[in-house]
Amino acid sequence: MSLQAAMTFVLACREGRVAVDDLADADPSEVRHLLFARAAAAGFAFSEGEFDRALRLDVAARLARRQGNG
Amino acid sequence: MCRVGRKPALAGAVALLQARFGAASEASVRKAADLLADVPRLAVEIDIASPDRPLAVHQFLLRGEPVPEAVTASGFAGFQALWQPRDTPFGRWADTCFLETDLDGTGAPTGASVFFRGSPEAAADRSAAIHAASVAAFGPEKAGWIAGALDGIEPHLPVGARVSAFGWMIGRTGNCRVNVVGVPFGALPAFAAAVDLDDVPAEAATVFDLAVDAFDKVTLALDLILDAGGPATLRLSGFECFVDEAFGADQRWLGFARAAARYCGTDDAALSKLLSGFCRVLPGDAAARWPDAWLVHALTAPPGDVPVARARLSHVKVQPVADGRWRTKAYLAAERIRHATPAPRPSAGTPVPDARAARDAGIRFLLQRQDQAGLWRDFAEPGGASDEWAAAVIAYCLADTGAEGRIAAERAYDALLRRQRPEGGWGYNAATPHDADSTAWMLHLARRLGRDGAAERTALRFLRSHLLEGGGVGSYAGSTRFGITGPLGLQGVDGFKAAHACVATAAAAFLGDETRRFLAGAQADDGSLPGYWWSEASYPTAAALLLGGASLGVDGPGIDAGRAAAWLAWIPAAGITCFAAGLRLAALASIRAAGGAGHLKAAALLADRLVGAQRTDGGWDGDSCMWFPHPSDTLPVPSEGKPLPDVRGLFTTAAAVLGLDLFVRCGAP
Repeated sequence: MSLQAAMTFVLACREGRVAVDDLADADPSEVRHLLFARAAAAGFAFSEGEFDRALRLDVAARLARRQGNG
Repeated sequence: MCRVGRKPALAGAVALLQARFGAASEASVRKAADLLADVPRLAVEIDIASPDRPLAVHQFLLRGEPVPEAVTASGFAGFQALWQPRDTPFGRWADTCFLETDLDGTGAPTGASVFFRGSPEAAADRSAAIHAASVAAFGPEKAGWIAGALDGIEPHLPVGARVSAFGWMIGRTGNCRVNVVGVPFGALPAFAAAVDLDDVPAEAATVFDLAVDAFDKVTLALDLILDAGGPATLRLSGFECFVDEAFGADQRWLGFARAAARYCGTDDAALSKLLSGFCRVLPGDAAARWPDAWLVHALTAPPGDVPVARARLSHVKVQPVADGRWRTKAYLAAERIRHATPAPRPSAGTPVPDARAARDAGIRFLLQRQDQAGLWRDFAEPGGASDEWAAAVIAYCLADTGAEGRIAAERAYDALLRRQRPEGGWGYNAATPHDADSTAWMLHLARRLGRDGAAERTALRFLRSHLLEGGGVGSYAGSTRFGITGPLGLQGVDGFKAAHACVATAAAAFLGDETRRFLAGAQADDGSLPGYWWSEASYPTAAALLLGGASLGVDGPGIDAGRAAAWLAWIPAAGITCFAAGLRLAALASIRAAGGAGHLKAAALLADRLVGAQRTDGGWDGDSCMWFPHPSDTLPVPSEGKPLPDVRGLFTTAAAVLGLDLFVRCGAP
């Protein structure tokens, strides 16, 4: 379990190395479970809290880059 | 799968709102799901007095987004046929569609109303657009009544006001709604009389003015009553009050609730509870969980796209009920947005404007953003936006730029006069204690406008009470009480009450030679003055030259203007912010106007810096280097304070306008 693994997974989704597009229309109550199952299958191990933090950090970094570039 | 579950974009908004609502309210939203579009936004309307029972749910739709069949069946089809093509008057005028679904006492949906917001650029199409939609909704006879009512409103709209939206209550009573935006402070009674508004309560003008003074935008909502068997009559529905989205859980909600409590019966504890823990923005809010339904969207956002999710109080509506009683409704909204792209700069090949054109565009930018109260609001902290200190500074920068700038500055002065505290001062905003800096800027504005009455005399007495031994000036007087709680408050606010050169620069013109001598003592060997509220020296050094902290052209106390000018003319290799460039340019131009060394080359470079960085909308990105020190630090400690940028760019734009205006007027191209 690690935040680093969660951040790597977020990056892998962004870069298309782990495909998640097909989950866009899934029942919202199932999405998180399906996403984590896909992460596990790809060899990533992280907790739910680590995943949420990784996603927030990733988006916050984008926001900072955008504001810096603005 | 439940009905919301079949609408993943909508489900994320429901999840964000869910944290605020009890099970009963959530069930209401789910009951209404068939009538809701699968778009990532939703607002729930509640009466603040009974927040657990939603009155209605709202969504806005952009052109091309899916409209639920249940809404189409209830009468929306005709609007959709008008709205989708862009080459019709309605297609050009209407830019956003708002759907409102009323809920009955059990939380079941009872039908939809539809509103369209009109584009200001397509005002010429408005009458034809509304007429076409009215014919589709209610037939030609009532459409004629509606047109007659609108024709009766148009000639009486105050300067700056316009019909911003029109609504058809197709699922309710068959009436219409007209929204008018931009009615200024004090203008409601004359407008209401001119358009023959029915049943306007005596206290309406007071409530309206309180709202205009508190919020960024207040829309006048008018009901057009069509079911009286004759021409439409107009009735006041209420005032919709908005806070700019940049400021989230702004303290002004509570200030307004307190001010309007005797009319609206809104107890601020209820509003406080409503706001507490509700306004949240992802990714910034570490306590909030990303809505499951929006996870894939966030994970697959393309490069450059910043997926933001937020829940907030969108606006409140105060509404007359009966017998002098009003009610307050709140609209709690959740949405997924892409972070706004900054306004683009001119692309290569676009003709570069000269300093005069850049100044004029900057003035227009500021004039367009003066609010209905006559103020400007900028910065986001501490305690919300600044609308007293910031407005005084911006109005000062505009006052000598020409007729329009003068009128805007006069409006701001009048608005600020209404805000003067009994002891004579002004503050960062109405929620913070009055201070020397804000009061000094207001006095400079008054001097520019030739105002010198009782208000100025009281203000001067208040300002003098901040004079410290040795001629320094504290931001706050020793007796000032702050509402700072937590660790910050426990360590005291000595720093805010100590002498600071950046405050003395604004006050020196009114406090005399003792303060000028203090400034002379504070001037560094390189010619600059240190800032306490600023992270670098451009503001205090330039302000000393602009506002009377130096003795220009005569011997006397005050900072050495020549050394200060030399420092201002030295431009660091790393470049400077636009805010600093504007102030430095203004100071150098003022020295030249007074017969001093002009530093023409530096001034031209600073003007080029500003012209090159101006956005196409006429403004500049906010990059002022204001600094919020720890209240107990008498000297700023970088590790303990934080920068406070002017998030709207108004303050930076005002500095740029001031600099370019003085530059142009002292004979520059």
